[in-house]
This record gives sequence, structure tokens and C-alpha cells, in this order.
Amino acid sequence: MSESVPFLPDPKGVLVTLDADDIELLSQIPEFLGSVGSVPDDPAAARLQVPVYLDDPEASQEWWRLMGTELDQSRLADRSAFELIIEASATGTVMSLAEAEAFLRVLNEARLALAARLKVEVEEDYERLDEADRGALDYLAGMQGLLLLVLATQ
Amino acid sequence: MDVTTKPVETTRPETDLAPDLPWLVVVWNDPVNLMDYVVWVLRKLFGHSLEEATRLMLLVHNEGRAVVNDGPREQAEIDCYRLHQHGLWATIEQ
Repeated sequence: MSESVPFLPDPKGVLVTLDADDIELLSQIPEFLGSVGSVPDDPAAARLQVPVYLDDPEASQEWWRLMGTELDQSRLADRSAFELIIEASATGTVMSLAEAEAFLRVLNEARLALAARLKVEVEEDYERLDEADRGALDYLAGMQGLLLLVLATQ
Repeated sequence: MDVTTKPVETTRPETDLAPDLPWLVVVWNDPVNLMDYVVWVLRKLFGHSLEEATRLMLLVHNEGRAVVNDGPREQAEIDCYRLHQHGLWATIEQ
């Protein structure tokens, strides 16, 4: 993570200013999330589409049939907002609160998908990750934490 | 453009065996979602105070799950949608 402050409160939302390293890392997220479900038995896809009725697979299937498309569209809209913000962030850009929330959801979705592919199912699983994988999860968590701090002031 | 659509009839599985009981929206613990993020989501979606959202988050963390809202089935399904939209692991039960 950069030494500069990526997120600051702004009267119109959140000022986001990212350095080149952050931009390079974060700009990979939409493509990464777009790959979810592209391989058979992708644990990331399973994590993002968990059963809603644990004791009723038929009702779960129906819920996903009714809500799944809308949820997919919502996630795609978040990623589009995220991409536009990343593109404008080198010189500083102000996110509306709605855009900041979308940004936060994308960071979270990326952590969920990455952790699922790394087979992180309980907290102890972090211990067996190699440095690069754990670093990626920690980096995203750090960005989430910084943005949450700013949103808490809004 | 004139677009005419016909209502689509959908059927729901007959699982409302106890229609008078409220449907419970349950959030489950997972090792990835940040505690602060869960608190933020619960406050945003349900208007909980910081104290109540923190209590529920800790219940999820320590007990593995917590009921975060209840009500009619339709509302529970919408709540569940919004929780999934934010990446929380949410289920519905009666």
C-alpha cells in the first residue's frame, strides 16, 4: 500500500488519490472478478452464490433464479464504477458516497473471491498461505479499512 | 419504443408450513469479511446503532451466526439479497 493517504473525507463524498502501485494492483480486480465462474468447480463462484435456504435446496434455487440476475447486474455496476474511479484516481477524484460504497463492495468481493480460491475456510487457513497470497489479502483489507474509516465520518 | 410485456407467473415451493411464524435473516461467520465492514453493512442496511451492529457482529464472530432481522418472507428475501450484495453470507429460516 502506498505511503500517501488514498482516501480523505470531502464535502461531496470521498477524495480518492492513488499512486501508481495502487492503481496497478487495483486495476486488476475487475478482470479477476470477471474470471469468477470461468473454470469448473470454481470455489470463488460458490462463495458468491451460497445457498439461501440451507434446508431447502429447491427454495434456494428459486431465490437465485429470481434474484441472481439482478445481483449479477448490481455487481457489474459496482465494478464499472470502480474502474472509472481507478482511472481518474491518479490526479485525485471525488467519489460520491454511492460510488464509495460500490468501491468498498468491489474490494470486499475481490477478497471473498481470492480467499475462496486460496481455500481460506477458517481463520487458521491464513497461516498456511504464502507471503504473496497473504499479502494480497492483507493489502485489500487495508484499503477496505482505510475507506471504512472515511465513510464512518460521513 | 413501445415495449409490451405480459406478467410472468412464478411459482414458489410450498415451504411456508408455519405462515404465522416470522422468517429469520441469519448472517453466518466467515474468515474473510472484516469486523468493521460487517458492522458498517448492518448499520447501513438495517439502521442499527453502532452498539447494536457491533453486538450482532460479535455474535456472528463468537457464536458462528446471528439473526439480524425478521419479518414476512418477502422482506426476509429482500434483506438476504441486500446482504449478499454486500458479500455477507446470509440465509433465511423460519
